[in-house]
Amino acid sequence: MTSKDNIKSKKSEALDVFRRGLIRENPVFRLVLGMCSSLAVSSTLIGSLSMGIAVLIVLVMSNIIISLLRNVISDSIRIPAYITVIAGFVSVVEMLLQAFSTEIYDLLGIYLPLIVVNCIILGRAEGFANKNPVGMAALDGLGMGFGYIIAMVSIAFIRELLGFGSLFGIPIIPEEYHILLFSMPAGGFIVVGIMMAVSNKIAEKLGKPKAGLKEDACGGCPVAAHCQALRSNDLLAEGSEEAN
Amino acid sequence: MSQQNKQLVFPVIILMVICFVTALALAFTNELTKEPIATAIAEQELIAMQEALPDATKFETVTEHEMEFVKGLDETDEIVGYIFQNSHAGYGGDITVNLGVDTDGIITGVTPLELNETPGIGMQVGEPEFLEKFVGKQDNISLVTSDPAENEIEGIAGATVSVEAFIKSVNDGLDDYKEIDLNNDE
Amino acid sequence: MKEILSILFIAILVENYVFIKFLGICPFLGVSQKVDTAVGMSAAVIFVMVLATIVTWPINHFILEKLRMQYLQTLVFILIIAALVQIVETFMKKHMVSLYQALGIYLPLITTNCIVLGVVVLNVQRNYGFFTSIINSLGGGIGFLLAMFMFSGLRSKIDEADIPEFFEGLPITLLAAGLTALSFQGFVGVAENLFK
Repeated sequence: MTSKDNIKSKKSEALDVFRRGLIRENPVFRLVLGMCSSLAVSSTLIGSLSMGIAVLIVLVMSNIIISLLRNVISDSIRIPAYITVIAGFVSVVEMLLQAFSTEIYDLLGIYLPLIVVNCIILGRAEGFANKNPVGMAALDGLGMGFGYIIAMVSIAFIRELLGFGSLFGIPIIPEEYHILLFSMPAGGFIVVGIMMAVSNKIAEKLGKPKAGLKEDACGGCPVAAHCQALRSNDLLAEGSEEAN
Repeated sequence: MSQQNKQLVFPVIILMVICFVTALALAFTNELTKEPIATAIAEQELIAMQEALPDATKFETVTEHEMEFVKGLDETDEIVGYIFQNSHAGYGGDITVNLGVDTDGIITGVTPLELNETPGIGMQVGEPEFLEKFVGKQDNISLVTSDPAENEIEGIAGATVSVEAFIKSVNDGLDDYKEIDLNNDE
Repeated sequence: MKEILSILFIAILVENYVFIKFLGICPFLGVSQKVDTAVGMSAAVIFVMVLATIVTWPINHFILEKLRMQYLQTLVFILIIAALVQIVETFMKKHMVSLYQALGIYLPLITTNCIVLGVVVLNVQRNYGFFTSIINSLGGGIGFLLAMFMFSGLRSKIDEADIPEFFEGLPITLLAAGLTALSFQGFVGVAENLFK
């Protein structure tokens, strides 16, 4: 009886690890990670999807490897070790894309190698993969990766439809009604800002904290402690309440 | 002491092993993808050449008269034209242009190969509307702001540097053609 | 000289690394509240960007490209940057204490930041020479400084304003950044004609 319960609870635990990353702890809207790429390539759906899949692959693979090596990588070398593993997978993805889809390779441009420093991947390595068994680490990677794709695609849906009047390159809205703003960088900031406000509103209704660069956010980003130290220095000096 | 040393040395060794394995994996992937990448790049070049010289079916890279260029041939192996590649510094690095001319020196097409200009402005030199303007012209091209005459091209507002670099590359190609023509007549 | 100015102008304004290229967003959003920390952070960013360029360019040019091992670029660059920052930080802590107190604390934040890796990759992609790469990185860093400085002023104004509750914090910051980005977009047309 107990072993059956054990298996059941393990399964639900695993499921939870996966589901978390999708909405509740969505890396973009809740943990505020990977902002650079989400703003940059989210002007088109094809760009978002390609980037999302690339990130998913790197995230899952690096989570797996880092989890496998978690007992061997000691504390002092963990950041360089994570970076090496992640950079390895990113380079592999780069080469595969360059070989088999020059279009997507050109579309992602410099943001492809920048996946290496995408806080989502480094954050999950530090915050989860190095403390959990391989299976869980893989599920976490899958969940966060799909959550990232969901976020990116929703941002791109709005930006491409309103900015270019198309979806996946298929024209839908006639040119007179295109709102150029959304295809520009400024539009990226604005759309993500509004969507984050919406996500905060929903979070508030569900009794959850707002997304922000707080202690529990940054999802395990290795430099979160430094960030916090700097910010609290500011606050102590000002003696005022944080606007966040 | 040796315990301390162990604590210091062991992690570094692990790190080096990880680096080494990663580098090996990358070298392996590189070997795997080298050919497909080269093929993809060659295909792109072929498409660019085809756009520059639409009438040709075969392309032959030759080095004659101390120049490297491409001869475009049709099915009967007759020369239908030439393609010259030249570059000039634009904003985001070099702009490399493939210039296609027929055997009379008239431009059949231009295609940009390397283009890293400002999106929406300088990048417009890569768009069909701009590239078409060159077709049918010969002799050195100059830039004007409006009412282009026979051998003039109307510029793009706000993209002067990119356009000028592009035109310089085209003119270099035309000069190359003149060299060939001169030498062929001898 | 004109070329240098034009590269600087483009890197700082036209293709501003924060507002147009979306690099360095994390420190930008996280550390731009007070002018002091904003400027300190930016100084550190400029420093690391230029230093990283100085070190990676020769390694790329004389080793990776000569040996046709470009596929190792991403890996080598990020490891060099990480190691470099670590070394600089340790050195500063011991030998340049006052500088460390001003800049040092920001250094770890910049290592894994897209802005440093981004500018290094960009220089390679555009085949810039050694000197040009440094100018470009310097420009990018100055652009970051400009963004941070402007924004820290903006944020203090935001703090005083009356904002609907669910916009408080990150959303309104992003919106403000968006509007600022819009104003930077205006520079795009200027550059191409200014430096004929």
